[in-house]
Amino acid sequence: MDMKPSHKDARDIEEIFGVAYEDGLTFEEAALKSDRLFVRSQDHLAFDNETANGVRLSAYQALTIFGPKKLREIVDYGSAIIPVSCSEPAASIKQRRESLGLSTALVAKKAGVTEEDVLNAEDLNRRNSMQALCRIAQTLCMDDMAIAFHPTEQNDTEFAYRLRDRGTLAGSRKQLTLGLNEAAWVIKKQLELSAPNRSAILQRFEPSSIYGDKNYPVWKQGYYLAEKTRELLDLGHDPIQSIRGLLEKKLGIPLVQLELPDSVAGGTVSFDQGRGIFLNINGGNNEVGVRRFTLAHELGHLLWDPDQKLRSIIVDEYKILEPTQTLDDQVYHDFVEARANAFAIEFLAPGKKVEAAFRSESSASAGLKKVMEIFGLSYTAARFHILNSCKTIDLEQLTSTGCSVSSDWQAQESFTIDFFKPESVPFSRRGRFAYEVVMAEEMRKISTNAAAIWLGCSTQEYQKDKETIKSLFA
Amino acid sequence: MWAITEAEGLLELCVAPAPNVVTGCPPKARDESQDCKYLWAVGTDTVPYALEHGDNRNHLSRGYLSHTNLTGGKPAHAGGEMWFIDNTTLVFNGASSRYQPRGLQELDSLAKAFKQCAYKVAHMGWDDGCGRPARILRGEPEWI
Repeated sequence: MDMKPSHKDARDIEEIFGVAYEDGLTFEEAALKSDRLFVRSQDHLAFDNETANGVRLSAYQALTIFGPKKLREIVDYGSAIIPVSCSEPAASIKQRRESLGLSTALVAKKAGVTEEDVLNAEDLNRRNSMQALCRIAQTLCMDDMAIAFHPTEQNDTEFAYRLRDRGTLAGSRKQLTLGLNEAAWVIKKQLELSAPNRSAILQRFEPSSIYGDKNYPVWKQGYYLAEKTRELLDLGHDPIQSIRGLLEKKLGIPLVQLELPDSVAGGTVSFDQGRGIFLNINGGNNEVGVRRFTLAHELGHLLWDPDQKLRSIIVDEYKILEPTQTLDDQVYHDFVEARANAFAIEFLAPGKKVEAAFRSESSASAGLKKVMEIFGLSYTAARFHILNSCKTIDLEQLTSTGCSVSSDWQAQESFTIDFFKPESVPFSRRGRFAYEVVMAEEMRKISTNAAAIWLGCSTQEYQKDKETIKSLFA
Repeated sequence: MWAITEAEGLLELCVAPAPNVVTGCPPKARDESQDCKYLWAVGTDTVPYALEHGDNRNHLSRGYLSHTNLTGGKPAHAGGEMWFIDNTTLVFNGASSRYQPRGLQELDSLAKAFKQCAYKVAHMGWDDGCGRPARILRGEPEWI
């Protein structure tokens, strides 16, 4: 989109944004300075007005979604027409829902609307409430604020099929599909919001397509990549105090925590804009050592797997992450997962350091406990990592009763979900995503109304608690 | 404010049929039916209307017609866009930044007035979401 104004555009800037034109002022700059709000319905965009009951957009949002030509249309006609074709948004919503294999009733329940709302949204003769459309669009991982403006792209449909296929991993297939959609929507939105401030560190990582062979076991490549990662991030060989902090703060990676079926540990999603990680807050991840391992495993996918291996989304079950054999004895069916597992353990606990820590204690059980304590590893992960690092030890020696990682690790890795406000915000949106939303709203990149819609709370709740959200992540 | 003349395509809506109008379907999405779109205004004495795009429009300030080019900038009761399906059947809306109708009731009143001139008439309705007259049809026209 060409945002550099011409002479004629200078007049547009004043009329569209209500901002006095200064030499060199771009459309984007004018929009960020503008106090003006816009309001969109399913079919139209207009300047905000008291009688409208649609969704409010900031001037910057309106500009970046619809472009200056559409905003000029508002000045000329009082409103601008949004739908790209008469079948939108009905066709895209229906196509998306069917691609995901979801019923209208299930989508309605997840979106918090009635089934009639979903059926109406799929009826091209209807003019629907924008609030209901936003909820439905989010549930189906569509761009809610831009809905109907663009035709559905083939990439979107393929992504939906992959989400549906991953949903077959667990018993409650459709619940998983819905959960994955939610995670994907939050990750995508966070990537968009954080794009201007994203850390450049990730550019140092070039995905590796080496997954080992007969002479070079895959775990060795996982270990190598773990060492390389520590080097690129300048982490030395010290324990990683907070893998969550490393992901969210240092690397700027979207991390979504949400409730998924118990068998699922987490996963990695890839979009054109970047990649993100989701984590199940149910099941084994309740134990901080397991959670750290899951996050490190997903980091391995995110940093090092090429796109063709990631195939838009990877969903990992706990059983894939659970070590049951020594590295040399394992028969790998999935080299992508095996590499991520080896990466995770070596990244969290570099082998040489593990051996030193283990041997510094007088008994095997004390050594095991020390390794768990120093590196924040789960009992199972620590046992097998010691076994792999110290070849002279027997697995039977590595036992300990009542052994768990200390509460210090729990505090360092704690989720923000327990004490988050407003309480109506779903778990999946209580991470750094919430902070990015507040910052975007404060910079006028999005409206207060949009911020509340994206957090899934009311505008009043958002305004009351936005300082609390900021303080959680400051 | 520049007002166009009869020679430039200014017409006055009288009793149906409308002579020599360009016919077409009202739009159901953006960028549709632009070449057959008329602008209209209900002035103090007359109902001027004219094709928005076409020859003799380049000299106008925005390169195509505006409602003030119909009225010369004078007050008017209402204005909008209009399509003739044939010379006795029209569909209109209230899309005008300057002369926009204030609500659904006003659109209904305008439709009845046009109907009294022997036209088969429908309007595009009111969009509560943006608090403005709708500019595209959803479904088939609801004839008054």
